[in-house]
Amino acid sequence: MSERLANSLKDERARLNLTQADLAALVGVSRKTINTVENGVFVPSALLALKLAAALGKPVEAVFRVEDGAPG
Amino acid sequence: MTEIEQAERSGRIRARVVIASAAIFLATFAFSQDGGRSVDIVRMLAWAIWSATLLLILAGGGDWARPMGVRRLMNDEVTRANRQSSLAVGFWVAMGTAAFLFVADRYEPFPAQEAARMILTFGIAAALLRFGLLERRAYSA
Repeated sequence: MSERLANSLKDERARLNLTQADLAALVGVSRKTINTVENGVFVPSALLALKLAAALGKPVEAVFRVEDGAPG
Repeated sequence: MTEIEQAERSGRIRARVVIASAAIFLATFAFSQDGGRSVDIVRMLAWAIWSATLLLILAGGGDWARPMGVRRLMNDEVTRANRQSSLAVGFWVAMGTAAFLFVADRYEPFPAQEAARMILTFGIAAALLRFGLLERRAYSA
């Protein structure tokens, strides 16, 4: 069974009226990194996940969660 | 323009330039045969300098004239992961090319310099292509 790291980054960012560039500036990464994490293309390191959650004012487990991959 | 915007713009350009460089690097491979004439020595030298430059771009991200902050953003976590993946692909393509030459040498001997050039060319071009495509995908994800 495959597992993936899902996240609610986009929703949390929208809740705070932040653009991808705003969040990128808060965390000190490029907008591309925010984009790829939001879309599930890139799995961030623990360090980046903690920084993102902190920037959004949420505990990391509220932003990131492990999900079972869809079969097939 | 903010550092984030500069990094975005430069990163997109880099992705396109890297893909184009890989294509041109492969295309020129056929036109740099060493026949012992002075013009061929110049071509081989140019190829060697170009190879070293492309390797440096692969290893360090290039754009050395950019401010430190922009370069740091251009080479953040996603780009470093893309680079690792690209270098792995380049390594395996180089190994595959070496294995091919090992077998092919039984039927048609290759001079050592020509074999080394082929291994380096295919390895570097594959890594560059992979890096450029991964970066382009990251920008359009």
